[in-house]
Amino acid sequence: MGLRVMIVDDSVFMRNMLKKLITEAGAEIVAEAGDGKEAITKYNEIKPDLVFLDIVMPNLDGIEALKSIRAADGNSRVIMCTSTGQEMVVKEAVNAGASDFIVKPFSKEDITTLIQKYSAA
Amino acid sequence: MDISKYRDEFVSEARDHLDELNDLLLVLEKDHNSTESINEIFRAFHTLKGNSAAMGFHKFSELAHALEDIMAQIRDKHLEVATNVIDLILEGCDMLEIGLEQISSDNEERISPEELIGELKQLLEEEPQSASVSIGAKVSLSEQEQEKISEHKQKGQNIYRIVLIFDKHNFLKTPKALIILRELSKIGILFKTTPEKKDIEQGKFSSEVEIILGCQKEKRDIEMIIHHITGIKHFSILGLDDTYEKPKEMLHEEKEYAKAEIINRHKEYAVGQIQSVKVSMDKLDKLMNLVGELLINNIRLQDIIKKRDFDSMKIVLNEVDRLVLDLQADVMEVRMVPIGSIFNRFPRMVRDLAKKEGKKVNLVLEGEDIEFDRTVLDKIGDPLVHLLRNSVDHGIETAEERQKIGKREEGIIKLIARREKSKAIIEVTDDGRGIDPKEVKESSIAKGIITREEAKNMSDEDLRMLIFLPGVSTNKIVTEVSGRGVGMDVVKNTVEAMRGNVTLKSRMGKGTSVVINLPLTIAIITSLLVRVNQEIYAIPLSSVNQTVDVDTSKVKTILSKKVFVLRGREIPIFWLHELLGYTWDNKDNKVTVIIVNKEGEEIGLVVDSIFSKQQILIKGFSDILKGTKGFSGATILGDGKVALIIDVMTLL
Repeated sequence: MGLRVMIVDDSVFMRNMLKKLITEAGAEIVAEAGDGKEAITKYNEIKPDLVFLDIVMPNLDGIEALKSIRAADGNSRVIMCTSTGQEMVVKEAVNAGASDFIVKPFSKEDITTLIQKYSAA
Repeated sequence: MDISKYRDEFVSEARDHLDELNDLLLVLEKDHNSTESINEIFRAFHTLKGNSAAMGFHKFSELAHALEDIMAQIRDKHLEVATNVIDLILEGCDMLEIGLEQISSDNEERISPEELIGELKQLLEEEPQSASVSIGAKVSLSEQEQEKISEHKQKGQNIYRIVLIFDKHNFLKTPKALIILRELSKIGILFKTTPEKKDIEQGKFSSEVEIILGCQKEKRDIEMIIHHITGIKHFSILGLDDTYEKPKEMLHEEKEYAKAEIINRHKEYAVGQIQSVKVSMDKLDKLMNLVGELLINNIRLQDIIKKRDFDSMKIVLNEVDRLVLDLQADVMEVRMVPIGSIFNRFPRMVRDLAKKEGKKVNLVLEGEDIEFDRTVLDKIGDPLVHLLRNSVDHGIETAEERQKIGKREEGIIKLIARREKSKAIIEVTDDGRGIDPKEVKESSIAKGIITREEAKNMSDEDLRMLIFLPGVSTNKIVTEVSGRGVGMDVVKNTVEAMRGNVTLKSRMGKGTSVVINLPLTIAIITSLLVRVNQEIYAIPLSSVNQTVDVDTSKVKTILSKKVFVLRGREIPIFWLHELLGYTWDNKDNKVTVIIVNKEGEEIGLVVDSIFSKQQILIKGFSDILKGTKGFSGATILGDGKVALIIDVMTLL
């Protein structure tokens, strides 16, 4: 069975892009969320294998969502989706337990490598 | 006082100083005792410092100040001119240049010279230690660290020396390094990291990070952890006492990136230079006079119309004709810029590139004062940079190699500009190893550009010419950094787009010479206007050899090709009508043939008639039509109609 992935981003466009790339890389999208709050609720419900989490979002931002998810599930694996110019936040994310980072705009290779690595583990 | 008025003047003067500095520093590098250069360099920095401070550009001024201090110490013999000193000063000049460009474009300096100023100050304190940390072949540990490590070793822990290589340009390198530190500290103890953790946190490392880890785990487990994080270019897990060697491909890649950056920096500066042209007052006065006379004639024409005095009209029109021609010639002259303005940057660039290759190269410039149309200079920069780079990379041998074969240690590259009749010629010549036709052959076969069979029938000259084909000489990394394809094919295309041509001569062991032929101006050409099927087309006179009337009965068909005999030679003949998609149904037994020159070969083109010989202004195609085979652009005729300009090179 493929890797079960949740995508969190407030932009529908970005979610669709990610969805396409992740599916093409052979993983399965099991949940989507448009903000941090929704992400936490859905994570606890569905327990995906891997989360792609945007940082700048309404209601609850990615960093806070990451903290809650990590607090609830120490084995959770969260990939932060960043843009350049967010260096400071990125360090906070490392301390909060982010597993890896990818930078927007995503390339097909970035996503494929990530999915392969996490599928193997 | 509004100081911004003086900004342009400040920028222009500072540019001159920086150009001069680049030259002087290269002189000083060769002759450490050149008192004259030392004094001039000192003065240039001093002036830059003062002027920039007056303009309120403090960072620029501080950096210039630090550089001035260094020169003062050198002048007073308190500091020796060593390579690292010259390097730092040149680095300083580079930063001043960047600062100057920022000031020039948006009146704001965004350079951060603090670190560099620190390094310059360190020179004065005789602390030669470099600020950047590099990973040594052997691990280096303090006594304390060693003690701590052996303690853990005795407890049965495995000690690993891990070296990670990140992509220098990836802004995520910091968090990725931190994730690895975080993950590794979960399984053991981090005895030491190089650079220190606080520096890693602030991103103060270029690409390598060393970690000394003690843990119960096996090498495989550590591999798994590191392997899991994306964006790491390379990692080695070694024993504590193992020797670390940076992988060859990393070294190569780093070198290529460094060189591409050198080129980009110098090129941008060189090309940025010619955004403005200095025009002497004399020339401007002359232009003004001409415009004045045109105005007078304009009034005369209006008068003629009013009085309906058409007899004088012809005289006035003749006058206007002369004035317009003069005006055209003068404006073209104003557009001419000495090629020195882009040549100036190349000695420095060649030096930096050669240094990266560990070679010694002297770039000799000739004909810097030869003037070229600005448009030509804009476009010729890239090809020249590429040719120079090729000479440094592939032409010139290393100093040891050269000594072995009895050449002077220092390779020589000559960049020569000269004029021959209506052509401008730029030549790049090196005294290096020459292009090996066998190497070109093998690489072209490997890349699938020619087959081994085809190669058999090719002369050495033919084989060498293969480097002008796309894909044979393209450098992936250079392309990546500069954002566009760079190779000999691009050189050839750029030159041909300006209606010039490139030739190459090379002798094994002796060197390579590339000659670029360019028309002096590319905006206005003399051309033959011909009529084909009621339409007017322009054929540049530079490609026309002669025109003849040919009896159709003399046209023969040989091997399905039509030819006719002219002065004992068979010349292939084509009907322009057919090439342009018309049908030809003329029953005349004589046709008008334009003999054109296509890469040294004569070809006859049949037209309906010759309309006139005329100077035309070339208008390039917009992007949609760019690259259309057979045409190089269009022009507007006296009656306002548009005529396409035929490009003989791509017509057939």
